[in-house]
Amino acid sequence: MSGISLRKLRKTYGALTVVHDIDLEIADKEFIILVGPSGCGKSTTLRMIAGLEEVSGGELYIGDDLVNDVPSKERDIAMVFQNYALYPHMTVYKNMAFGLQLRKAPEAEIEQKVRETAKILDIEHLLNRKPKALSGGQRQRVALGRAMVRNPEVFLLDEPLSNLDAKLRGSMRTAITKLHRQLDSTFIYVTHDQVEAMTMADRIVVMKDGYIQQVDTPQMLYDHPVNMFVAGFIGAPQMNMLPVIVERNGDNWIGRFHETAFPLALGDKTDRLAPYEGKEIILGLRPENFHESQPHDIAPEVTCPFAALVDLAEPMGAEIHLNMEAHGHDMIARVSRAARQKTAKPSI
Amino acid sequence: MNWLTNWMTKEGPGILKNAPKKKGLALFAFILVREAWDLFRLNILMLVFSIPVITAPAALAAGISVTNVMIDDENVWLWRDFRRAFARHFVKATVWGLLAALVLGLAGYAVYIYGQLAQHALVYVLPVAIGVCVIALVAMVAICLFSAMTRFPLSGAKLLQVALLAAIARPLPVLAGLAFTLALWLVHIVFYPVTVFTPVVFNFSLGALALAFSAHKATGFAFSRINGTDNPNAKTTATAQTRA
Repeated sequence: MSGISLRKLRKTYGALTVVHDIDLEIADKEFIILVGPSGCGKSTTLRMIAGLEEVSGGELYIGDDLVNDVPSKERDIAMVFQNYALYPHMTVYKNMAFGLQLRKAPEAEIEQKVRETAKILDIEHLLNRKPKALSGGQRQRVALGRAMVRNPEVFLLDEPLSNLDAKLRGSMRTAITKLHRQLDSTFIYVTHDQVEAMTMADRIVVMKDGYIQQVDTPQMLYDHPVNMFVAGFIGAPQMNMLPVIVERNGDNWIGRFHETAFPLALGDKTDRLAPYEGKEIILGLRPENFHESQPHDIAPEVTCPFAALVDLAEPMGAEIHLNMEAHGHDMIARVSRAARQKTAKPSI
Repeated sequence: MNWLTNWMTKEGPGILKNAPKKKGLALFAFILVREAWDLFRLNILMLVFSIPVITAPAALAAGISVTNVMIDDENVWLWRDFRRAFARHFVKATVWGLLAALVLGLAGYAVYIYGQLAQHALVYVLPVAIGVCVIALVAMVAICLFSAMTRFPLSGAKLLQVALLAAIARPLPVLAGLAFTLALWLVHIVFYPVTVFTPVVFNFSLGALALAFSAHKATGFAFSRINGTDNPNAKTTATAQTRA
């Protein structure tokens, strides 16, 4: 059992608190991703779990053991760093074997584990090479391999893909996800890239300014963000935020944005709008909620025409991103490529 | 020191999995560059272990054993592999080494004597030529023997049989390796004292690498023929033996 429990975990540097009493339960064999902008405390949290940072307050449990004061080497964890942290004077084989040698593992076991891991990661042909000759992706695989040979209960990965180019990042994302399934271990992964978070995680922890904003599955975060930060952070292109005035229209509620009346269909939660009647709220619209024409699969009563000036159409291949402006508000819509012929018009 | 850190940590070009394998001299140069630091350390080990003289054959065997692992592109744990190879091959290497030295010494002496006589009667050129051929053949067989000894679990007649076949089957590479090693020492002697440090830096290990490299294919071929295997997995055998 290698579930991890963070209870009121805090990190302070003098008067500055960078992680504020966070609570988090990470299940055994879960792939959890800490995501947030730079300086939100995600790496600090990871480093506290790794034992590389002292815990200033709260409790940190790995399994049933309180590990606040347990040295890093005695926690059954392995960490992969952003800059790979490979030993430049050692071959790939020696880099991978080093941790096991320190633990005085038998030679045969070291040999077997290194070769098995190299086979899994497809780096057998690199074993007798030094890191200097390796590309970024190959180094990343070696860094993963070095963590894997120790067969730890928990893998900690601190922005492992951020030094790679976009193409390689895509393939490594898939590789790490498959690896998690194969190894059946707990993965805690830090990134500022929400695409990585959405595509890889079982659950995502969104952090900002040292506080956890929301913890949920990628789809739940996307569909039901708890605040504007999460709504804006998750999703690419990001959610459009429009100020609307809440109005009642018979039994229905609408959000009025100038001449546009958005139907606010909240199902059985409609009563929650009552206190805001006549007041301004922020309406979040995902870029894919815009359509160039009335969609067949959405009831007409929950749609409304919306006029905006298209500043720029960005063809993405499978779809088109329209950068629009309406009453001083910039917005972005994601429409099908069939709309290409229509983008010459000033509005959709 | 930032430049050093940057140089050490900067991203490389990457290594293609299916890149064509280097062969011949290109491979030799590649191994030389790749293993330069380990070769320097190996040189020190061979030098130190050869100081008692009687241990020189075993030190050479250990050096050839380590360089065989380098040629097979396997990971080398220098001290461990050298120490084990030295201990494992000590008796065999010493016996065969002394035997080879004795034959080479006798043949050399015969060449010297008949060379003196040839100055007075041309008929003595023939034994001189035979003596030179014997020296070359014995040296080649000795190189192949040391190579085979460190690569395969052979001893006695079988080992000699493999070495003889290897030397006869692929004599040119073995002769080239021998010539290269002799040249290294000749350069050291001719340009002394300018080259006073070459034995300390690379003469022993580079010589061992050249000898091992030149006999590598020959011994593999001979081993497979004598053991009746068409496709010998010499690399696996060598690695398993070295690691044992």
